[in-house]
Amino acid sequence: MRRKTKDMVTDAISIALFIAVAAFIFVPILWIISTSFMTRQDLASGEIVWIPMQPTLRSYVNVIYRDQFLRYFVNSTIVAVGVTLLSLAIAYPAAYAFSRYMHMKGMATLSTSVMALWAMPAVLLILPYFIIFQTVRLYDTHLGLIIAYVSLTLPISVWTLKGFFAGIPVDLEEAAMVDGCTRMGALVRIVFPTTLPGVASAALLAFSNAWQDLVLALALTSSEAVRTIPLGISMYFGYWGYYWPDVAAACVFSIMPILVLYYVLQRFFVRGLTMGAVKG
Amino acid sequence: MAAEEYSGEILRVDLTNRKLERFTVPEEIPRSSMGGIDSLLRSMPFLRSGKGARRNMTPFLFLLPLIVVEFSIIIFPLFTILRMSFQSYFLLEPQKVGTWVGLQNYWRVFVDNLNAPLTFLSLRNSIFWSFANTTFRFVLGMAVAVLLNRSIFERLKLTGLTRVLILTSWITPGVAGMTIWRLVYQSTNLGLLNGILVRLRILSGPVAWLENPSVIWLSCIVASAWKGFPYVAIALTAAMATISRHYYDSAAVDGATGFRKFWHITFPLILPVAIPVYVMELMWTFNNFLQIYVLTRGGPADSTMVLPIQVFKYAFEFDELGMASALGAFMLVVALASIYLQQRYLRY
Repeated sequence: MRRKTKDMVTDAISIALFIAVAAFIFVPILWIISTSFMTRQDLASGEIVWIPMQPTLRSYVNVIYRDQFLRYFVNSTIVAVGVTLLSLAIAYPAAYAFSRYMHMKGMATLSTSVMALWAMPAVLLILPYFIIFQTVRLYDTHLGLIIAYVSLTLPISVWTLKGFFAGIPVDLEEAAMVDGCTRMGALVRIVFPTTLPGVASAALLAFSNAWQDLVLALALTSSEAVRTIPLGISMYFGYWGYYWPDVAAACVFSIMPILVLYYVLQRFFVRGLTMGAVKG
Repeated sequence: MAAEEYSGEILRVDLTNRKLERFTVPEEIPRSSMGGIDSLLRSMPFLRSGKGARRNMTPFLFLLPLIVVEFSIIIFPLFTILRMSFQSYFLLEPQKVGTWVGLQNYWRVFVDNLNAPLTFLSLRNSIFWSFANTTFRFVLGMAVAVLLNRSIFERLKLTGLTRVLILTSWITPGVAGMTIWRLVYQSTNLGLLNGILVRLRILSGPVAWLENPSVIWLSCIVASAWKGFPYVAIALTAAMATISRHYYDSAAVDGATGFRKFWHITFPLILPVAIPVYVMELMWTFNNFLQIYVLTRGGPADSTMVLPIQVFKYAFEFDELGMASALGAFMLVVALASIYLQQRYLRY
């Protein structure tokens, strides 16, 4: 009986600790959401205002109409979707080859080198890109940003998908091929549907990486027509006396699409992440 | 459960997910590798060799786009940096751009008294920041991983939910995430942290978290850990979940309790996963531009300047892409050396 009480106490402590960790994660996010609805009176009150007295959408209007964030949102979306499609189109067949032909000569080295590119500093790429993109007229274009971001997301996409392919038995394709399917046919008709969870989680990773980058956008764009959301947010801090509720509303713009995608796809995503991490 | 009565390899059919898995009954911890498919393939000659050259071309065709794209947008540009570091790229003198200047860029970055002190300050900061930051987020991540593996969450069927919630801050976009912390660290009434600490009478007055030199690194580390620790926690939770309960049961019979169980069973058994994750996080932090840039821009007075921001500064504030490339070449060498060392000594 005493032992049971002791277990219940440990369980209660575990749950309390988990709530503390969750608070550490969520309170800052909720705080910026709350700030985005604040008025000047809330800022001037001198007290912590958990929930604004008279919540206002003023900052969202400012951010969308005055600060052009709707345009930045469209730019970020175009770029991130482009990156996701391109990155997956290249990574999918490659990851398949890595998982099915690992025994072939040179395959292990090649796969390691993809991993190595993951550890390359992204900030270095801005230097050659800045020069090259100006000569081939990719500077300050959506396409230029897409190409630049694919360099960041490609290794991650290959690695995530590789983890998923490893979990799919070769017997599946073997059976299809015995029944007269070509390897390509087996890949498209049999393997692809099975790897959809992997594709979803690799897509989310690529999308979120392209969505959140700052340094490449900072170096490779100059006009508002191509500016992305992270760049828009970071530019607030270049001015003296920015208005925090506006900055907060811009941040909410940046966070919401990713969180919505994440919670929709979480079932595949968390599993994919642990596979990539542990098996990788 | 029955699997644990055998040892060696078995094939396990997962009926719900329609999966066939090769399953090694762990003698210690399963090595993180994909050897399963590899050896399965080897046992199926018709998949391996095929009828002549046509079939052997297939993997090459699958890999061709990756190889072409990687070479043209990553490897070639990275080597361009080496060339640029020996050329003049002072953008305000366009007629001279591209002329060879020998080691001048390196001299100005690493020797010249005008810039060298700042270069070495950012190098020192980068090393300190990478190790302190990675270690902090690792300790936090490991503690949370232990917490997530408590049986209570499994009994309440909350394992999935806890993992999804924990990863929320990791998936939050970086600029927005760090801006959130700039807000939380404010000295006005928007500064949640000061507000709470003052109200609890831990502080007598607000602290300028991102300006005061004695706490500025701590502030950056906490903000960065907020974004980074969930990944560590989830990776380590997955590793811990593979440890057989039998170890803990027999340790309990021997009278071991909480911390001793962790230190003598959990910790050594998750090392094969933990070390590569630590090294990756270390390299990633060393290369990361965004977090410090958004939090402090390397200030105040260059006190939090790190190498990636310094490269950016040389390039776009000094308009000296040559100097930036010289420092970039140094970072490239560091990255290649760490990858080499990791592959050579830390392969699990």
